[in-house]
Amino acid sequence: MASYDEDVSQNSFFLALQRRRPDLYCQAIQLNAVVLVPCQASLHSFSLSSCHFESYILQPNESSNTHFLSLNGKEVMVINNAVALAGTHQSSQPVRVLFEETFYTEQGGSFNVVCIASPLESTGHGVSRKLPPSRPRASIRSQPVLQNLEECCDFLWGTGTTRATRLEVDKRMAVFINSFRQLQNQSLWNCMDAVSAFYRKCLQIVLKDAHMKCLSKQEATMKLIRQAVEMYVLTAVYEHVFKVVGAIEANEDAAFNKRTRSLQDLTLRDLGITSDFSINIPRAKRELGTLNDHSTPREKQLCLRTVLHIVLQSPRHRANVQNATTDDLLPVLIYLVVKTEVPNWMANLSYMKNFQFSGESKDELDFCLTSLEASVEHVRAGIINPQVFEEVLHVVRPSFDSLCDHPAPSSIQLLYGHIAHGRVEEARMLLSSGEAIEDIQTSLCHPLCSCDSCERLVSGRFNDPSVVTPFSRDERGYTNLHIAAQFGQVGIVEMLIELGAIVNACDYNGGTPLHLACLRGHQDVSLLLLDFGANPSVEDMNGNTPLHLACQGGHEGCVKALTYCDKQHRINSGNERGDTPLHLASRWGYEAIVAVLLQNGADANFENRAGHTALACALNERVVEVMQHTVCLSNCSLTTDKDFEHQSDVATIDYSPTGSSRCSSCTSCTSVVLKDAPNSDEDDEKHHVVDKLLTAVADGDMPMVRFLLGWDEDDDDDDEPQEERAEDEERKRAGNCRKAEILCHPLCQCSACQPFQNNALLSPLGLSVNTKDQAGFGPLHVAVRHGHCELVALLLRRGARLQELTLGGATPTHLACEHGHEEVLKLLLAHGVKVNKQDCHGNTPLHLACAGGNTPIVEQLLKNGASMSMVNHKGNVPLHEATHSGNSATVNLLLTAGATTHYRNYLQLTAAESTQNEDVLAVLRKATVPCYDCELEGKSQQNSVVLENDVRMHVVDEDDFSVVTVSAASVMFDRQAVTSAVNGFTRDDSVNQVPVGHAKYGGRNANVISRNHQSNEVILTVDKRHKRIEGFGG
Amino acid sequence: MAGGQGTGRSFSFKVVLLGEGCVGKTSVVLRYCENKFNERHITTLQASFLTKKLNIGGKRVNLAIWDTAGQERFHALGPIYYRDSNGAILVYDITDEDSFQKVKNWVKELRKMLGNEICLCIVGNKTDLEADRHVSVQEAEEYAESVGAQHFHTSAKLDRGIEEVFLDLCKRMLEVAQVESSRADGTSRHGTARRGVQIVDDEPQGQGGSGGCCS
Repeated sequence: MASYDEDVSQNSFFLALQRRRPDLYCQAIQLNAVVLVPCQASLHSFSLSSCHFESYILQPNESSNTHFLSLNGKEVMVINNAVALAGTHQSSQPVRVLFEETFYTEQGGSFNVVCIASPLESTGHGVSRKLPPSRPRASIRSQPVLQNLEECCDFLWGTGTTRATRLEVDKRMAVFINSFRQLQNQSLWNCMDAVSAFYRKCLQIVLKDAHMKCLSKQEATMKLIRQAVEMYVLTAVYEHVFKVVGAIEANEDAAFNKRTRSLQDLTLRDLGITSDFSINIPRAKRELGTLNDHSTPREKQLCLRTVLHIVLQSPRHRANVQNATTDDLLPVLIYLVVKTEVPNWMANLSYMKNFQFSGESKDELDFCLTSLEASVEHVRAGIINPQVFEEVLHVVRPSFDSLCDHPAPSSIQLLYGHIAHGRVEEARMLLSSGEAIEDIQTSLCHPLCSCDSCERLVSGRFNDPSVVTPFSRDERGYTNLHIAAQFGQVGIVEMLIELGAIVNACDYNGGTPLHLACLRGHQDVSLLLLDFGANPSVEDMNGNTPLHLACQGGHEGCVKALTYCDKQHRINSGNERGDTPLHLASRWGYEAIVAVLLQNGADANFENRAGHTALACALNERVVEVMQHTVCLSNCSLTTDKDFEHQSDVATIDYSPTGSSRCSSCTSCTSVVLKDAPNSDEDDEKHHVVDKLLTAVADGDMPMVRFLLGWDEDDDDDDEPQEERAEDEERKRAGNCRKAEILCHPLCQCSACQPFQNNALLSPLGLSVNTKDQAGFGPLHVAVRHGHCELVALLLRRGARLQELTLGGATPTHLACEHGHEEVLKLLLAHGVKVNKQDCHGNTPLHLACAGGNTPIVEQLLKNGASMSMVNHKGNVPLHEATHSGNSATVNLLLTAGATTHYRNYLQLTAAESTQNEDVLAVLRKATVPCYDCELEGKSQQNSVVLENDVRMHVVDEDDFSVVTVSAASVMFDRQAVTSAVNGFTRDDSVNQVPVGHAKYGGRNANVISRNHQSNEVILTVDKRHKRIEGFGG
Repeated sequence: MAGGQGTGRSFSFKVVLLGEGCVGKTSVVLRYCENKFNERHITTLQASFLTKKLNIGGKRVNLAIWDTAGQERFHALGPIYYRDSNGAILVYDITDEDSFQKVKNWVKELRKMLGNEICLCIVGNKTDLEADRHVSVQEAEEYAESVGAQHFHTSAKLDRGIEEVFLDLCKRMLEVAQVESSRADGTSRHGTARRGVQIVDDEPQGQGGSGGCCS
């Protein structure tokens, strides 16, 4: 409903009342009366002079809510939102009430003003009586609430506005959208600023128009103009803006969807929603489902308001219905948020909150938005737990109920309680009581005998509810295994299968235990079930395979387990709605799952029943990108997923932003390997398996890693993995067979065989803890790179090699330092890694840590003896790298530890010369001792130079070399300055692998002869010939 | 239109209603907004968001009254509701000491999150049950004073004292708004000014707290 508003204190009727009849006005204040004021627009042809103001002032009436007496004794009735004169004027029609306003005077008096659509009586001008109703109605309607684009276009361009204005706005719009496209991948704030600036620009253009300028003089109309412009602008840019917002909120949305999917069992009772409100829920849900059809924040909010109104509608028009408070409203909204299929709540919320520029934020629409936000927040906070509300109610409480009702609780419920809580022993006890049946069976004449004696033995046993077996079912058709799978109780699953439970048993909805495990996201149980032969392609009543449920629930681990084990390529099967798993994953915005599915051959071109492809289902730009990338790849190169995987591997493996050279070199390494490798199917399969392993490691997916490497959880504590192998003789044999097939000859150490020749043992899949992929990355590398501490510990325990190199020559230590995983580094250091190894770019771990500006890591390395004077292939020492990183703390740390500042790299730059960063420069300047060259010139006379800070330098000429001795003459010297000066032309001779030419002294080559740490004395030789070439002294 | 020239300033204020579930905060606000001329509005059951127009000494005020969830399970959602509000009405039941304690918690939280810009009214409802009173008048009033809030007694049932609560609150919010707008020097009045979250130490509980110990 349009809410009419005007400033009553400017109303000519009201002013006339005050001016002409101050007596009446005072009386009204005294009486705390109700003053009826016809709205301004209706006063057009109304004669104020002949008005009976008395009839417009109503005395308060305590006894009746519908009848009032005016000051001149007329009876006024209030019916249905309208007032009418009763009695005297039979012809008088009810006049609509527009709004009510309470006036408080300065003196403390008060009265109520009720604004009505037209004057009560036509004050004697009987003829003009008919005229007002049409006029005021039209002018009251001129205050529309802009509901959609059409109305706003009508308002903006409909009357009086020149065509040029609209053209101007439209032209700007095209330009803006073009430039906005380039803005993508920017932050939300940039995006908001851009749109807001554009909105203001458009508003300015519109207000320049003469017609609008005239309209804008009124506050209310001005507000409308703002709204209209905003709506017009945002409708046009919606698609682009919402895409950006969607991409920004993608992760939040995916996480939230995962949460709502897991809450699908939520019932009204769980939330305490009463039947008064539940009646309207289906309608509200339908309305809320259209949220994504609306484009502007305002339209979306109007949609929310409709939802709220539907929710709050009373089922019957009862007089004393309970008032709907926020406490009633919130649970309903929460229920709606969980149950309505809107996969992008976060994006919608962020969009509605941030892209409103015109409105003020205190109206009902804002309240609706806030309510939604509160509901979403409540769901996200994870306070609602359907397991508590549902399963435990089903599983545990009935057992207590029946405890009260019957002397013996139903044993199946007891059993399910044990299973749900993972009490293996209790469950086993209960189950073993059923084994008696087998004993009976052996004592029967023959298994199907029905002679009297046998009957007596058997009677009742099979149908006795107190006897539970692994095959017992509850009222939903769940077997024990279903319950165990649902609650993720690995131990119980194992025990039940051992006892002969049917792995593929269906409940009454057609769901297998695997369905439930995938629905709840228990990856370990899924793997176990699959291992025991669960069929991953069983469809439940809704046509969902376990993969569908795992995708819908966002359980990446389960999806991986399933795609790995599903050999039959049922990955594109559709459910009842024709949705493939890819449809579900893309609709709910699970980017990672989409990637996994696509890698495993999911087809993005399948259409569901509604004719949408998975791509069309994706609301989230990031998912769209992943899919388009794959589709594009598979179109360009006819070689399918395989290539994509390699490319993506390279992309993920290679690293630092500064090392573009490294990146390309690594790519070329990989491609070389690819070329060399024979492209047989077997090889492909092996790569595939290795990729799986590494992906699992990268995800920190312990159960999957264990599964792939064939490790049991229980054995982790064993110091001797060998023992475990002995137990599992069969597997070992299988592994060995496989090994024999793969290897060129039993002792071959070629690059293809080498991974399989490790001491560490092979899993049934031919994987070992030191298996590498084409880029030379093994599980340890990947685990370190992703900082999975626990996994690193596990791998080390399992014999992963510490100094294993990737093709880039990186040890795990390099990776830990480069990616800044301090904990992992500590772990590696504790295992005694060497810290001064250089990779193919000459970088030591310290270089990488410095380049990353990661001070704690640098500290760790220095503590463990990392050298500060190793030179990489750019001629940089760690200090250079630290300087580049711009982290002054790191630089400071290096300097404190005694790093030299004078070292020049191959570009002949010292650390200080290669940075612009003021902080870093300040730190460096503090530590730098200036001037070498001058002192060398001085040398020719005295062979001894005193530097700043009392550092003394002696130079002795020999045949081809100058021998330079540096010592500190004074006890007052700055220790650091000496160290710096000394290091300025020395290198750490303990690791003197780099040619002499790398050591420089004031631009000259130098070679250390000896160094006395106690006296801070260094003797070195400077190549005189070289000196001559450079044109110094002599 | 003729009346359009130079209207007096109009303000819109957001007022949140806080208090435990059964203290009757909804009844208070419904009583206040009860509108004999607009019956249907009330019968839509809508009590979670209500509006009221006032004209105080020539200044127009649009009051938006937001009901908040009183149930404990929704407590964490408070900040979402009360952010950007100009005033808060904290209702307790004079027969229920716990509800008064809740009010104290709310006050602490509000002052912490919104600073001193928010005007507070503490309302002891159900004065019709005076015989059952468990929260002493003195204690409540001293507490209110110590935290810079006004204290009122109301009875939604008998329609006592409710209008005064809102009138007083509006007057104070007007003062704050005028100070603010004079400070802001005419740079965009509403909307764009985002209120930063201010962290303030717990205000002195003073006599209010000690009074609680004695009773």
